Amino acid sequence: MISAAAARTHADELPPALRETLKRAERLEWWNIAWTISIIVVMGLVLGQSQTMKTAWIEDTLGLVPPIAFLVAARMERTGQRSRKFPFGFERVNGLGFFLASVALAGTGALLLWDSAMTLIKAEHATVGSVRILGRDIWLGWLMIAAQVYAMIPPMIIGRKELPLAEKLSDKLLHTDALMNKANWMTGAAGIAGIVGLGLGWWWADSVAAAFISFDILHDGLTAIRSSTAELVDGAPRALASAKLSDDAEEVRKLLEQRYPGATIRLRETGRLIRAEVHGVHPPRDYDGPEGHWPGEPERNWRLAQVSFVPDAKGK
Amino acid sequence: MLARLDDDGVDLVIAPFRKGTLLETSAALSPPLATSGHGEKAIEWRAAMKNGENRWISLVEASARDAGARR
Repeated sequence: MISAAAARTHADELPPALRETLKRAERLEWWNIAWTISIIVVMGLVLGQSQTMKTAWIEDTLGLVPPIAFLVAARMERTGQRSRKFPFGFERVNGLGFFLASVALAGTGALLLWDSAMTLIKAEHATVGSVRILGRDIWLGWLMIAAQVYAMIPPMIIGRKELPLAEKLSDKLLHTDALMNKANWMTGAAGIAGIVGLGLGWWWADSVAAAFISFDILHDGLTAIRSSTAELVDGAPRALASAKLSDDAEEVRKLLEQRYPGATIRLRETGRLIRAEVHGVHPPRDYDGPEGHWPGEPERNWRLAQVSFVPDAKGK
Repeated sequence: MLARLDDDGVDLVIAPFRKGTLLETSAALSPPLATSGHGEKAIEWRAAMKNGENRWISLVEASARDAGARR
Protein backbone atom coordinates (compact mmCIF):
# COMPACT_ATOMS: atom_id res chain seq x y z
CA MET A 1 0.00 0.00 0.00
CA ILE A 2 1.17 3.53 -0.78
CA SER A 3 0.87 6.16 1.95
CA ALA A 4 -0.82 9.51 1.30
CA ALA A 5 2.56 11.25 1.31
CA ALA A 6 3.97 8.77 -1.19
CA ALA A 7 0.91 9.12 -3.45
CA ARG A 8 1.67 12.80 -4.07
CA THR A 9 2.75 13.78 -7.53
CA HIS A 10 5.96 15.54 -8.44
CA ALA A 11 4.06 18.72 -9.30
CA ASP A 12 2.46 18.75 -5.81
CA GLU A 13 5.89 19.51 -4.41
CA LEU A 14 6.48 22.53 -6.61
CA PRO A 15 5.58 26.05 -5.38
CA PRO A 16 2.04 27.14 -6.40
CA ALA A 17 3.39 29.95 -8.61
CA LEU A 18 5.50 27.44 -10.52
CA ARG A 19 2.54 25.07 -10.93
CA GLU A 20 0.65 28.00 -12.45
CA THR A 21 3.58 28.68 -14.82
CA LEU A 22 3.54 25.00 -15.80
CA LYS A 23 -0.17 25.26 -16.64
CA ARG A 24 0.49 28.41 -18.72
CA ALA A 25 3.20 26.53 -20.62
CA GLU A 26 0.76 23.67 -21.24
CA ARG A 27 -1.88 26.07 -22.62
CA LEU A 28 0.77 27.62 -24.88
CA GLU A 29 1.73 24.18 -26.17
CA TRP A 30 -1.90 23.36 -27.04
CA TRP A 31 -1.95 26.57 -29.10
CA ASN A 32 1.36 25.55 -30.61
CA ILE A 33 -0.05 22.19 -31.73
CA ALA A 34 -3.22 23.79 -33.18
CA TRP A 35 -1.24 26.37 -35.17
CA THR A 36 1.30 23.78 -36.32
CA ILE A 37 -1.48 21.52 -37.68
CA SER A 38 -2.99 24.48 -39.56
CA ILE A 39 0.46 25.27 -41.01
CA ILE A 40 0.97 21.63 -42.07
CA VAL A 41 -2.37 21.73 -43.94
CA VAL A 42 -1.70 25.11 -45.63
CA MET A 43 1.85 24.15 -46.64
CA GLY A 44 0.67 20.77 -47.90
CA LEU A 45 -1.78 22.48 -50.26
CA VAL A 46 0.92 24.49 -52.07
CA LEU A 47 3.88 22.12 -51.75
CA GLY A 48 4.78 21.78 -55.45
CA GLN A 49 8.29 20.53 -56.28
CA SER A 50 10.22 23.08 -54.23
CA GLN A 51 12.81 21.28 -52.11
CA THR A 52 12.71 23.85 -49.33
CA MET A 53 8.92 23.74 -49.27
CA LYS A 54 8.96 19.94 -48.91
CA THR A 55 11.59 20.07 -46.19
CA ALA A 56 9.79 22.90 -44.42
CA TRP A 57 6.64 20.79 -44.48
CA ILE A 58 8.44 17.77 -42.97
CA GLU A 59 10.05 20.10 -40.45
CA ASP A 60 6.68 21.54 -39.46
CA THR A 61 5.43 17.99 -38.95
CA LEU A 62 8.49 17.13 -36.81
CA GLY A 63 7.76 20.35 -34.93
CA LEU A 64 4.84 18.55 -33.31
CA VAL A 65 7.21 16.24 -31.41
CA PRO A 66 8.44 18.72 -28.73
CA PRO A 67 5.02 20.15 -27.77
CA ILE A 68 3.47 16.67 -27.62
CA ALA A 69 6.42 15.41 -25.54
CA PHE A 70 6.07 18.45 -23.25
CA LEU A 71 2.33 17.93 -22.75
CA VAL A 72 2.79 14.23 -21.98
CA ALA A 73 5.63 15.00 -19.54
CA ALA A 74 3.73 17.85 -17.85
CA ARG A 75 0.61 15.72 -17.49
CA MET A 76 2.61 12.90 -15.92
CA GLU A 77 4.30 15.38 -13.59
CA ARG A 78 0.93 16.73 -12.51
CA THR A 79 -1.03 13.50 -12.27
CA GLY A 80 1.46 10.62 -12.11
CA GLN A 81 1.50 9.41 -8.50
CA ARG A 82 4.34 7.52 -6.95
CA SER A 83 3.64 3.83 -6.77
CA ARG A 84 5.42 0.58 -6.04
CA LYS A 85 6.32 0.32 -9.71
CA PHE A 86 7.40 3.97 -9.94
CA PRO A 87 8.58 4.85 -6.42
CA PHE A 88 10.37 8.02 -7.59
CA GLY A 89 7.37 9.32 -9.52
CA PHE A 90 7.60 10.74 -13.02
CA GLU A 91 9.76 13.85 -12.79
CA ARG A 92 12.28 12.36 -15.23
CA VAL A 93 9.67 12.03 -17.99
CA ASN A 94 10.57 15.64 -18.76
CA GLY A 95 14.19 14.55 -19.34
CA LEU A 96 13.05 11.74 -21.63
CA GLY A 97 10.88 14.22 -23.55
CA PHE A 98 13.88 16.56 -23.76
CA PHE A 99 15.87 13.76 -25.39
CA LEU A 100 13.08 13.03 -27.91
CA ALA A 101 12.71 16.72 -28.75
CA SER A 102 16.51 17.03 -29.19
CA VAL A 103 16.55 14.10 -31.60
CA ALA A 104 13.64 15.64 -33.55
CA LEU A 105 15.49 18.98 -33.75
CA ALA A 106 18.79 17.41 -34.84
CA GLY A 107 16.88 15.18 -37.27
CA THR A 108 15.26 18.24 -38.80
CA GLY A 109 18.63 19.91 -39.31
CA ALA A 110 20.19 16.73 -40.76
CA LEU A 111 17.24 16.19 -43.09
CA LEU A 112 17.37 19.74 -44.32
CA LEU A 113 21.12 19.53 -44.95
CA TRP A 114 20.89 16.13 -46.71
CA ASP A 115 18.01 17.14 -48.99
CA SER A 116 19.50 20.44 -50.03
CA ALA A 117 22.96 18.90 -50.59
CA MET A 118 21.45 16.13 -52.74
CA THR A 119 19.46 18.64 -54.78
CA LEU A 120 22.60 20.70 -55.41
CA ILE A 121 24.71 17.64 -56.29
CA LYS A 122 22.08 16.26 -58.69
CA ALA A 123 21.39 19.79 -60.02
CA GLU A 124 17.66 19.14 -59.75
CA HIS A 125 15.63 22.00 -61.19
CA ALA A 126 12.51 22.54 -59.09
CA THR A 127 9.38 23.22 -61.05
CA VAL A 128 6.98 25.80 -59.71
CA GLY A 129 4.07 26.06 -62.09
CA SER A 130 0.82 28.01 -61.96
CA VAL A 131 -2.77 27.50 -60.90
CA ARG A 132 -5.94 29.14 -62.16
CA ILE A 133 -7.95 30.80 -59.41
CA LEU A 134 -11.14 32.74 -60.23
CA GLY A 135 -10.17 32.85 -63.88
CA ARG A 136 -6.68 34.23 -63.27
CA ASP A 137 -3.44 32.30 -63.71
CA ILE A 138 -1.35 32.73 -60.60
CA TRP A 139 2.25 31.57 -60.24
CA LEU A 140 2.29 28.91 -57.50
CA GLY A 141 5.37 30.62 -56.04
CA TRP A 142 3.20 33.51 -54.81
CA LEU A 143 0.97 31.06 -52.95
CA MET A 144 4.05 29.31 -51.55
CA ILE A 145 5.40 32.64 -50.30
CA ALA A 146 2.03 33.46 -48.71
CA ALA A 147 1.99 30.00 -47.05
CA GLN A 148 5.55 30.48 -45.80
CA VAL A 149 4.72 33.90 -44.34
CA TYR A 150 1.73 32.32 -42.58
CA ALA A 151 3.97 29.47 -41.38
CA MET A 152 6.53 31.90 -39.95
CA ILE A 153 4.29 34.01 -37.72
CA PRO A 154 2.98 31.49 -35.12
CA PRO A 155 6.38 29.87 -34.37
CA MET A 156 7.97 33.31 -34.07
CA ILE A 157 5.41 34.44 -31.48
CA ILE A 158 5.07 31.12 -29.63
CA GLY A 159 8.85 30.57 -29.51
CA ARG A 160 9.37 34.01 -27.94
CA LYS A 161 6.63 33.34 -25.37
CA GLU A 162 8.15 29.97 -24.48
CA LEU A 163 11.62 31.25 -23.60
CA PRO A 164 10.75 33.11 -20.34
CA LEU A 165 8.51 30.20 -19.24
CA ALA A 166 11.34 27.72 -19.94
CA GLU A 167 13.70 29.83 -17.82
CA LYS A 168 11.23 30.08 -14.94
CA LEU A 169 10.54 26.35 -15.02
CA SER A 170 14.17 25.39 -15.78
CA ASP A 171 12.59 23.31 -18.50
CA LYS A 172 14.98 22.20 -21.21
CA LEU A 173 12.21 20.42 -23.12
CA LEU A 174 10.28 23.67 -23.42
CA HIS A 175 13.50 25.48 -24.35
CA THR A 176 14.16 22.92 -27.09
CA ASP A 177 10.65 23.53 -28.39
CA ALA A 178 11.45 27.25 -28.55
CA LEU A 179 14.52 26.31 -30.63
CA MET A 180 12.32 24.13 -32.84
CA ASN A 181 10.04 27.10 -33.39
CA LYS A 182 13.06 29.21 -34.26
CA ALA A 183 14.14 26.50 -36.72
CA ASN A 184 10.66 26.56 -38.27
CA TRP A 185 10.50 30.30 -38.88
CA MET A 186 14.08 30.37 -40.13
CA THR A 187 13.22 27.61 -42.61
CA GLY A 188 10.24 29.73 -43.64
CA ALA A 189 12.51 32.71 -44.30
CA ALA A 190 14.91 30.50 -46.30
CA GLY A 191 11.95 29.08 -48.17
CA ILE A 192 10.82 32.54 -49.22
CA ALA A 193 14.33 33.42 -50.36
CA GLY A 194 14.49 30.15 -52.27
CA ILE A 195 11.15 30.62 -54.01
CA VAL A 196 12.03 34.20 -54.99
CA GLY A 197 15.29 32.78 -56.36
CA LEU A 198 13.40 30.17 -58.39
CA GLY A 199 11.25 32.97 -59.79
CA LEU A 200 14.41 34.75 -60.89
CA GLY A 201 15.65 31.60 -62.61
CA TRP A 202 18.22 30.61 -59.96
CA TRP A 203 17.44 26.90 -59.58
CA TRP A 204 20.09 26.53 -56.86
CA ALA A 205 18.75 29.36 -54.64
CA ASP A 206 16.16 27.12 -53.02
CA SER A 207 18.71 24.54 -51.84
CA VAL A 208 21.51 26.95 -50.95
CA ALA A 209 19.11 28.85 -48.67
CA ALA A 210 18.00 25.58 -47.03
CA ALA A 211 21.58 24.30 -46.60
CA PHE A 212 22.64 27.62 -45.05
CA ILE A 213 20.12 27.45 -42.21
CA SER A 214 20.39 23.68 -41.71
CA PHE A 215 23.80 24.12 -40.04
CA ASP A 216 22.30 26.35 -37.35
CA ILE A 217 19.43 23.93 -36.70
CA LEU A 218 21.76 20.91 -36.64
CA HIS A 219 24.08 22.70 -34.19
CA ASP A 220 21.18 23.48 -31.82
CA GLY A 221 19.92 19.90 -32.11
CA LEU A 222 23.30 18.30 -31.38
CA THR A 223 23.87 20.63 -28.41
CA ALA A 224 20.47 19.61 -27.04
CA ILE A 225 21.28 15.91 -27.57
CA ARG A 226 24.55 16.30 -25.63
CA SER A 227 22.71 18.02 -22.79
CA SER A 228 19.78 15.57 -22.72
CA THR A 229 21.95 12.45 -22.80
CA ALA A 230 24.05 13.94 -19.97
CA GLU A 231 20.87 14.15 -17.91
CA LEU A 232 19.82 10.58 -18.77
CA VAL A 233 23.18 9.15 -17.64
CA ASP A 234 23.25 11.19 -14.41
CA GLY A 235 25.76 13.74 -15.64
CA ALA A 236 26.17 17.01 -13.76
CA PRO A 237 23.29 19.49 -14.40
CA ARG A 238 23.64 21.37 -17.66
CA ALA A 239 22.68 24.94 -18.55
CA LEU A 240 19.31 25.63 -20.16
CA ALA A 241 20.66 26.77 -23.52
CA SER A 242 23.96 24.92 -23.85
CA ALA A 243 25.79 21.73 -22.87
CA LYS A 244 27.94 23.69 -20.38
CA LEU A 245 27.53 23.05 -16.64
CA SER A 246 24.62 24.93 -15.11
CA ASP A 247 25.52 28.06 -13.10
CA ASP A 248 22.88 27.11 -10.48
CA ALA A 249 24.46 23.71 -9.96
CA GLU A 250 27.99 25.12 -9.81
CA GLU A 251 26.89 27.52 -7.04
CA VAL A 252 25.34 24.60 -5.13
CA ARG A 253 28.54 22.57 -5.52
CA LYS A 254 30.68 25.46 -4.21
CA LEU A 255 28.40 25.97 -1.20
CA LEU A 256 28.40 22.25 -0.35
CA GLU A 257 32.20 22.06 -0.68
CA GLN A 258 32.54 25.06 1.67
CA ARG A 259 30.11 23.67 4.20
CA TYR A 260 31.43 20.09 4.12
CA PRO A 261 35.18 20.34 3.54
CA GLY A 262 36.78 17.11 2.41
CA ALA A 263 33.50 15.66 1.17
CA THR A 264 32.97 14.53 -2.41
CA ILE A 265 30.04 16.32 -3.99
CA ARG A 266 28.01 14.65 -6.73
CA LEU A 267 25.23 16.53 -8.49
CA ARG A 268 22.74 15.32 -11.05
CA GLU A 269 19.55 16.58 -12.60
CA THR A 270 16.18 14.86 -12.70
CA GLY A 271 13.92 16.84 -14.98
CA ARG A 272 13.89 20.40 -13.64
CA LEU A 273 15.34 19.44 -10.24
CA ILE A 274 18.90 19.23 -8.93
CA ARG A 275 19.84 16.39 -6.58
CA ALA A 276 23.02 16.42 -4.51
CA GLU A 277 24.95 13.65 -2.80
CA VAL A 278 27.56 14.53 -0.19
CA HIS A 279 29.94 11.59 0.16
CA GLY A 280 32.29 10.98 3.05
CA VAL A 281 30.51 12.93 5.81
CA HIS A 282 27.60 12.44 8.21
CA PRO A 283 24.64 14.83 8.01
CA PRO A 284 24.98 17.75 10.44
CA ARG A 285 22.82 17.74 13.60
CA ASP A 286 21.18 20.99 12.54
CA TYR A 287 20.45 19.81 8.97
CA ASP A 288 17.93 22.28 7.54
CA GLY A 289 16.89 20.41 4.40
CA PRO A 290 17.79 21.16 0.79
CA GLU A 291 16.32 24.69 0.99
CA GLY A 292 19.04 25.63 3.47
CA HIS A 293 21.67 24.62 0.92
CA TRP A 294 20.35 26.76 -1.92
CA PRO A 295 22.76 29.61 -2.59
CA GLY A 296 20.58 31.63 -4.98
CA GLU A 297 17.29 33.50 -4.80
CA PRO A 298 14.97 31.90 -2.19
CA GLU A 299 12.02 31.77 -4.61
CA ARG A 300 14.01 29.35 -6.77
CA ASN A 301 15.07 27.04 -3.94
CA TRP A 302 12.66 24.38 -5.26
CA ARG A 303 15.39 23.60 -7.83
CA LEU A 304 17.43 21.79 -5.19
CA ALA A 305 15.14 18.87 -4.34
CA GLN A 306 17.49 16.69 -2.32
CA VAL A 307 20.76 16.75 -0.39
CA SER A 308 21.72 13.21 0.69
CA PHE A 309 24.67 12.26 2.88
CA VAL A 310 26.65 9.09 2.22
CA PRO A 311 29.18 8.56 5.05
CA ASP A 312 32.14 6.25 4.48
CA ALA A 313 31.74 2.69 5.77
CA LYS A 314 33.52 2.03 9.07
CA GLY A 315 37.24 1.42 8.70
CA LYS A 316 37.49 3.14 5.32
CA MET B 1 11.55 13.06 -77.49
CA LEU B 2 11.00 13.45 -73.75
CA ALA B 3 14.63 12.57 -73.11
CA ARG B 4 15.68 15.44 -75.37
CA LEU B 5 13.94 17.91 -73.05
CA ASP B 6 16.84 17.52 -70.64
CA ASP B 7 19.65 18.17 -73.11
CA ASP B 8 18.20 21.51 -74.20
CA GLY B 9 17.41 20.17 -77.67
CA VAL B 10 13.64 20.53 -77.33
CA ASP B 11 11.55 23.06 -75.39
CA LEU B 12 8.17 21.37 -75.61
CA VAL B 13 6.73 17.96 -76.40
CA ILE B 14 2.98 17.51 -76.89
CA ALA B 15 2.12 13.88 -76.41
CA PRO B 16 -0.68 11.59 -75.22
CA PHE B 17 -0.38 10.42 -71.63
CA ARG B 18 -2.48 7.93 -69.74
CA LYS B 19 -4.49 9.70 -67.05
CA GLY B 20 -2.54 9.90 -63.78
CA THR B 21 0.88 9.43 -65.43
CA LEU B 22 3.58 10.09 -62.86
CA LEU B 23 6.00 12.01 -65.04
CA GLU B 24 6.07 15.04 -62.80
CA THR B 25 9.48 14.21 -61.40
CA SER B 26 11.23 13.83 -64.76
CA ALA B 27 9.37 16.53 -66.71
CA ALA B 28 6.80 19.19 -66.00
CA LEU B 29 3.40 18.41 -67.51
CA SER B 30 0.83 21.02 -68.45
CA PRO B 31 -2.88 20.62 -67.72
CA PRO B 32 -4.63 18.48 -70.40
CA LEU B 33 -5.03 20.16 -73.79
CA ALA B 34 -7.52 17.51 -74.83
CA THR B 35 -8.86 14.23 -73.45
CA SER B 36 -10.10 11.15 -75.27
CA GLY B 37 -11.79 8.17 -73.70
CA HIS B 38 -13.23 7.84 -70.21
CA GLY B 39 -12.34 6.57 -66.78
CA GLU B 40 -9.00 4.91 -66.09
CA LYS B 41 -8.32 4.36 -69.79
CA ALA B 42 -8.67 8.05 -70.65
CA ILE B 43 -5.84 9.51 -72.70
CA GLU B 44 -4.80 13.09 -72.04
CA TRP B 45 -2.84 15.22 -74.49
CA ARG B 46 -0.41 17.32 -72.47
CA ALA B 47 2.60 19.51 -73.05
CA ALA B 48 5.79 18.21 -71.40
CA MET B 49 8.54 20.67 -70.55
CA LYS B 50 11.96 20.64 -68.93
CA ASN B 51 11.78 20.93 -65.15
CA GLY B 52 12.77 24.25 -63.64
CA GLU B 53 11.92 26.43 -66.67
CA ASN B 54 9.33 28.10 -64.52
CA ARG B 55 8.40 31.15 -66.57
CA TRP B 56 8.05 29.00 -69.70
CA ILE B 57 6.07 26.35 -67.78
CA SER B 58 3.65 28.97 -66.39
CA LEU B 59 3.12 30.42 -69.87
CA VAL B 60 2.42 27.01 -71.42
CA GLU B 61 0.18 26.01 -68.51
CA ALA B 62 -1.96 29.15 -68.95
CA SER B 63 -2.25 28.51 -72.71
CA ALA B 64 -3.10 24.83 -72.11
CA ARG B 65 -5.88 25.81 -69.71
CA ASP B 66 -7.28 28.24 -72.29
CA ALA B 67 -7.09 25.57 -75.00
CA GLY B 68 -8.64 22.95 -72.71
CA ALA B 69 -11.46 25.33 -71.77
CA ARG B 70 -12.25 26.09 -75.45
CA ARG B 71 -12.76 22.40 -76.32
